[in-house]
Amino acid sequence: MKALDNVSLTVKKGEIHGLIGETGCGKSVTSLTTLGLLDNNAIIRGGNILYKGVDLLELKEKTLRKEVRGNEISMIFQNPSTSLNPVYTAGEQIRESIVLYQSNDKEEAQRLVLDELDRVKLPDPEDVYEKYPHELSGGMMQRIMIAMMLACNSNLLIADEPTTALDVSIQAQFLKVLEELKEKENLSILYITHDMAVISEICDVVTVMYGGQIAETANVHDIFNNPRHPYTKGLIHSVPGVKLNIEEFETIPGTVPRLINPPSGCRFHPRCEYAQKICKEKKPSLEHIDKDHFVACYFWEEVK
Amino acid sequence: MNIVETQNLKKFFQSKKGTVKAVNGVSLNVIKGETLGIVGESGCGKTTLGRTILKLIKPTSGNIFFDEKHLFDLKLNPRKAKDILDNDGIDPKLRKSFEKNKYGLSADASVSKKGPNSWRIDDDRSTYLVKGEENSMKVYSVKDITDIDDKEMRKHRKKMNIVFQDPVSALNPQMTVYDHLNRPLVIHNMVSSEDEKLRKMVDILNTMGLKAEHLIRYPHELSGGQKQRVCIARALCLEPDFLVLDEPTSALDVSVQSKILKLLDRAKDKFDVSYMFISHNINLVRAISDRLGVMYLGKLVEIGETSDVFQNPKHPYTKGLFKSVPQPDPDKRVKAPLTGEVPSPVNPPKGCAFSPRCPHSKAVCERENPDLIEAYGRKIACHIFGKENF
Repeated sequence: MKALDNVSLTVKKGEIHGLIGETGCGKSVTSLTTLGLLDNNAIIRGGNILYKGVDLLELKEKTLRKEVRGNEISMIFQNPSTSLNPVYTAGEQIRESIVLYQSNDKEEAQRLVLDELDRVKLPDPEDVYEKYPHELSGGMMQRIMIAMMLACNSNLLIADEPTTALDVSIQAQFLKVLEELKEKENLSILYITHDMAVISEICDVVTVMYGGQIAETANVHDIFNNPRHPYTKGLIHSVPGVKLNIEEFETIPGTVPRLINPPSGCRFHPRCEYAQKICKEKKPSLEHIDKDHFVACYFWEEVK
Repeated sequence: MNIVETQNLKKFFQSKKGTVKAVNGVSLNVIKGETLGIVGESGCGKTTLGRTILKLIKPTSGNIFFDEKHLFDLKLNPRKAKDILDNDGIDPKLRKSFEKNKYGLSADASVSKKGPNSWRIDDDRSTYLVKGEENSMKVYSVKDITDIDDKEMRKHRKKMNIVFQDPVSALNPQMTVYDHLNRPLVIHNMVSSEDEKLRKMVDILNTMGLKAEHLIRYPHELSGGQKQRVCIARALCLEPDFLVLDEPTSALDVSVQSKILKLLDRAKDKFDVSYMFISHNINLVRAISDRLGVMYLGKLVEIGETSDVFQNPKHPYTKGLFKSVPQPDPDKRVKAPLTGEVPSPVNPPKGCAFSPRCPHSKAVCERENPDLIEAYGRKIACHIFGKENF
């Protein structure tokens, strides 16, 4: 199964980069590959993952663990309750990363934990410190995860569907925390989601993935106002909120392809209204069409 | 006319920590042919409400009325009718009016007041609702399904159905699509011959965008969207009058979601069915529902025409909730989301449950629970914004 095929994307310093796609398009595999967290049966056939100029693929597991994961790049997952240890309090778990990365002094570590809890806008940090994960709500747990990441002083955060399990009001609060961290601390974030509305809410740059390949990359305004890939366009028009009336909803015919035996040429062509003979025969390459706008489609000029 | 009406419906659960008031006095109605959207955050009781209405779980108290039919208008001066109905016993004039319209009341019939302009008359055979509207009083017959036993309930089951969130767990992995559709059709005697049954199955599958060949498929041979379409087909094959859709698309990808919504919309006209659409996805409910109810901690805080409520939300929770919803438009970003979190339903705040998070909270809000009352052509439960002359 070719989970990823020729995926290139760049996350700049202090930027929130959104990675969007439907189930099975390879967005989570992209993030796991970055951190070297893939299962043993995964084979990386080629390519580079450059972080501050260093190719992460060439680093040894030990170096990755000691010098990259945590210190430089952190990751948070969809379900915070499975990422936290149920038998330690929230404070103890954050303190662990502080002791590892910042300070050995017990009292200072505790003080730093409280600072971190305050930074992610958790009310009453002393109280939260003593709480076990089951005593916290989903939104609070997700903020604990962020605090843990901040405690390692990471520069890049990979967030894989971090708000899918959260309610809208909690999601909005959580996204505000991320935005503030970006503004104040120049944190870079790779934000993975299937939710177009969340993408429009916090991202600066958006990459759309389809069937293990990149369909389009552009800044968030261009993606929403001037989409050039038929898939991006279909995705946006099937999101409730763009069209307010059910009759105006557009749908993308067919379903997401299986990557074991993907369609030839452009993987989107069986579902595409613009598809022609060439789309079936030859895979389109990512074309540079405007300042920061890239699209992999032969007929991008016709997509309106 | 209403297809379903609930009056002060409550469902409490006992837990180790105390009583969870999942649904705490909800009065609402679903009008024939409409889609009523119910939104709220997790734990607000929207799913419990849907299940209690169908009596999949037994209500703690309150009433559920089903299948309302207009019988006649009460030919009395409305003010006089009110006086008559406000008395405890059945007034001779009221009895006469029922007889005149060929609906004689038995000797032990009783009247009880159910709201500012609605009364309930129980007699040994039927339940009647009397409702005052502007200058007239209308008498309806309804079926009170609150207390009937399971055997009796089974007769009504055919007329009401539910589609659950997760199609994977709602289908039996050992049964084909044919089996899934066969069971309800046979149990409820919907068809007389195998031929008719097959025709009916294929017709309903076609309506949901599936083909006859899918009949021999097992659930694992279908995609997520197809599975959910089978679930909807199964719910619709008995030609129900009322369907509860409990987050029917939240387990699906967006491109599939919009297809299912379109199919649901089409099926609604074809089968003349009314929907109660429960979801936490506010943008989605906005697109599909005619009226919208907003729930917070087991209670309705605002209910009215969808477009109206969206354009001009009145309850502070509704306002905050709508403001927290990200819009698929990078130029409209959320500025001031709701603060705080939903309190525990075991120990809800005193007075208005929203008061601890409410920016407009006053002393009265922490003391008394506001009633859901008419204002601005909708119903609002708020001490501050729930009155028009504010």
